[in-house]
Amino acid sequence: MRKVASIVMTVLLMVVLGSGFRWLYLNRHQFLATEATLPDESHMNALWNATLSDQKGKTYPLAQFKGKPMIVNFWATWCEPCREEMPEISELASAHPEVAVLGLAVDEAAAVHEFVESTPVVYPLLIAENEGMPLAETLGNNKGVLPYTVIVSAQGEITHIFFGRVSRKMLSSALNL
Amino acid sequence: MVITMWFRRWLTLAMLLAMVMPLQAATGFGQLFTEDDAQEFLPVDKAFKVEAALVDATHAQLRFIVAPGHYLYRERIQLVSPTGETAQLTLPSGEAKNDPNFGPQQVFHHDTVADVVFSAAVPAVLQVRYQGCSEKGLCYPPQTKSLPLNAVASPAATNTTSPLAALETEDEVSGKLLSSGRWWQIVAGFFGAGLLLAFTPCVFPMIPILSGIIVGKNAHTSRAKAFTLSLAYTLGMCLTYTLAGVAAGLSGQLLSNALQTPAALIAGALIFVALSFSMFGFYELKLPSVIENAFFNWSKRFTGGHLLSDFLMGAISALIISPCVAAPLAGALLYISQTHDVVLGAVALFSLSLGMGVPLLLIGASAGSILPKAGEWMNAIRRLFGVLMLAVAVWVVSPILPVALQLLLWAALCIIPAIYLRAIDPLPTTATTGQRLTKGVALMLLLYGIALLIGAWSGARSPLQPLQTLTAGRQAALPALSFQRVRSVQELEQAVQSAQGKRVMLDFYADWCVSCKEYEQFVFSEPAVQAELKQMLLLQADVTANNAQDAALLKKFALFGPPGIVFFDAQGQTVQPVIKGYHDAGRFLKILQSIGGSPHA
Repeated sequence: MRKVASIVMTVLLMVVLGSGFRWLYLNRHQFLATEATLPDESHMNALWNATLSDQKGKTYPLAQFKGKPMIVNFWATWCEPCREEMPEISELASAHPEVAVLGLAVDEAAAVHEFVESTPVVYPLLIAENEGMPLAETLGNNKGVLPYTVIVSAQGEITHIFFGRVSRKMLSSALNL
Repeated sequence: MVITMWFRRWLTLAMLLAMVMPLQAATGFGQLFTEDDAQEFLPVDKAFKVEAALVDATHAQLRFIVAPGHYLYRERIQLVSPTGETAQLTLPSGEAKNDPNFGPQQVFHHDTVADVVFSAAVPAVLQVRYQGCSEKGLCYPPQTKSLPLNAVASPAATNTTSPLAALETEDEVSGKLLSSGRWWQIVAGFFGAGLLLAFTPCVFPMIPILSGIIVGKNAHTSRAKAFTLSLAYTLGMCLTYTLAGVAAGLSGQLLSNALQTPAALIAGALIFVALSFSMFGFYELKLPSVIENAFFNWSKRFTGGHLLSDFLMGAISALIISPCVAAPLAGALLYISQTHDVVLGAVALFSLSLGMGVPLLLIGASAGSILPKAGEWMNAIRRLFGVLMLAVAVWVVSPILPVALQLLLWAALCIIPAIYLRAIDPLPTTATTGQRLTKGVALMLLLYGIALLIGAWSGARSPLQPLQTLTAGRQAALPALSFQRVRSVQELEQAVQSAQGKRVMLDFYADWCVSCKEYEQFVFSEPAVQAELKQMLLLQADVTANNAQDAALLKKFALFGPPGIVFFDAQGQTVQPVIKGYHDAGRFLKILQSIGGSPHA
C-alpha cells in the first residue's frame, strides 16, 4: 500500500511540476525580453508610397530615396530625447552624404519651423503630424514611442530599428560606416 | 535541554523563512528584464493611465496613474471636451524640470489627481489629452482618452455612493486597493481577504492534511511543536502564492486564465480525488520514500526535520487548491501583471496567503486541546472530508462537463455516502437518538440524490433545481441566445453602426474560458435576462485563437481576456461598467437595468 502511495505521489508531483514547466515554456516570450522583430519588406511600401512636405512646403516623394541606405528618424519638438539626438544625426548626415537621412516630425509645421530656426540640421525634416505615428507603427514601432529610428539598407530592407534615443555610434555601426 | 531544542526548531523555521527571502532577489532579477533593460519599454497605456469619477453634481476627479520612471507634462494635460467655458480643469503644481528648449517645465512623476468643475450640466463623457515621456529617453505621442462619467441621478443621491459602486466585483476592489499604492493598506487588505478565503470550501482539504501531519506523524506533540509544524506548512503555502504574485508581475499575463484551462481544471480535480481516496484510507499520503529519506537524512542535521517536509507539503497543497481560489486571486494578479511591479505582487500575495493560513495556525496552536486523539470518531471525520473533497473535485471540473454528467456525479456523491450512512438499513428497535438522526439525514441525502438522477435524465439545467423541468414543463427551457460574430475592430464598428438605435451587447468568449461557459449555462439561459437582452443587438467575439485581431478587440476595452461584456448605448457609445469576470444572473440583471434598460419585470 505504501508503495502505491509513493508512486501516486511521485506521479502527481511530476504532473504538477511538468505542467508548470510546460506553461512557463509556452509563455516564455512573456518572461524573456525577446528581440524586437523586424518588419518585413512588404511594410516598406507604406514608406515608399508616402509623399510628405518639409516645414517650408517643399514636397518629397519618399520613393526617390529607394536604392540608398537610409535613416528614418521619427521625432517631435515636444520630445526632449528626440531633440538631443538630432545634432548627432546631423553630424552623421554631413559626414556621409551617400546615406539618405530623413526626419519625420510627428508635429505641427509651425513648431518644426520654429525649432529649425534655433537648431538647424542638414537633413530634410518632413511634417507627418497625423500620418507619422501610423507609419512608424507599420515600420515596427509597436510601442508607439518617440524617438524611433529605422535603418533601411540599399536593398530596401529594414536592417535595424531603435526605440528611444540613438547615438552617432549606434547609427554608424548599424550602417557599417 | 528542552529550551535548546525549542531554539533549534525555531532556527530551522527561520531557515525556511529565509528560503522565501530569495524571492526578493528574484524580484531584482525580474527587474533586470522588465525595468532596467533599456530595450524594454512600457506601451503607452501601461505607462500612463487615467480614470475619471464623478464626485458630486458639479464636480469630477481625474486620476492620472504614472508608472515608475515616467512623467507627464503638466502643461499638456488638457480637457478636449467639454470645452473651456463649461468645465474648468485644476491641476496641482508639479515638479520642476528644466527643458533645454522650452525652459522650465512642470511634470508629474507620480499619480496625480486633477479636479474638474462643471458650470453647465455634467457631460456623459470627458475627453482628456495628455502627453508624457519616460526617463529612459523616449516620449509617447499625445493621447486622447474618452472617459465616461456616471451621471448622478438626482441631487438627493449625491450623498450616497453611486449604485454601481455596490456592484463592484471583488477583483475590482482588490485592484483598486493595489493601485492606491499604500503598502500597509495593501498588506492589511490582502491579509483580510485571505482570512475570508480561509472560510471557503477551498481550504477544507488543507485542514485534514495539516491535522494528519500534526496528529499522524507526531502522535505525542506538544502544543508548541504543533504550532511550529503548522507555521512551516503555512509558510510553504505562502511560498507558492508569492511565486504566483512574482510570476504575474513578471509575465504580464493573467495567471488565473491559465488556471482556468481545462487541463488545469482536470488536473486539479484529479488531485482532489487522489486526496479524498487517502481520506478513505485506501492509502497513506506521503512523499515518495526516496525523497522523504533524502530529506530526512539531510534535515536530521538541523533537528526538527519534519518542518521541511511540511513546508513542501504546504507549497504543494497551495498548488492543489489554486484552481479553486483562482477567481478571487484574479483581480490582484490582473493589477500586478499590468504594472509589472514584482515586489508589490509578492508582498500582496504573501499577506493574502498568510491570512488564508490563520485558521491553520489556530488549529496548530490548539493541537493539544482541540484535536482529539485518534479513534473511530476521527475516521468518520476523515471520510466526511473525503466526500467533501470529491465534491470540490466535481465543482472544480463542472464548468467543462455537460450538465447531465454533472448531475450524475452529484447524484453519485449523494447516494453512495447515504448508503454508507445506512439510509436503507433497518434501524434496530433499540436505536439511539444519534442513530435515528443519522438515518434521517441519510434518507434526505438519498432522496436528493435520486432527484438529481431524475434531473440528469430529464434535462435539468442546474443541480440546485433538479426537478425544474418536471415542475415547470418543457416550455421553460428557452433556446440559447443567438449572437452575431465579430472578428475584428472594423467588424465591431460596422455592427454597432448597423444596430440603428438599438443598444448593443458585446460578449467576449473563448473555448478555454470557464466563466464564459458559466455565462451561457446560468446567466444567458435565465428568462429574465433573455427578456432584458431581447431589445439589444447581441455580438460575440470569439477570442479562442487570441490572434492579433482578437488582441486588438480586447485592448480596445482594456480587457485582458474573456469573460468580458461591453455595452453600447443607442448612439453607439460604450457604456460603463464594462463587465469583467463572472457575475451571476441576479447581479448581471442589476447591471443591465442600471445601464438604462427599460425597468420592466
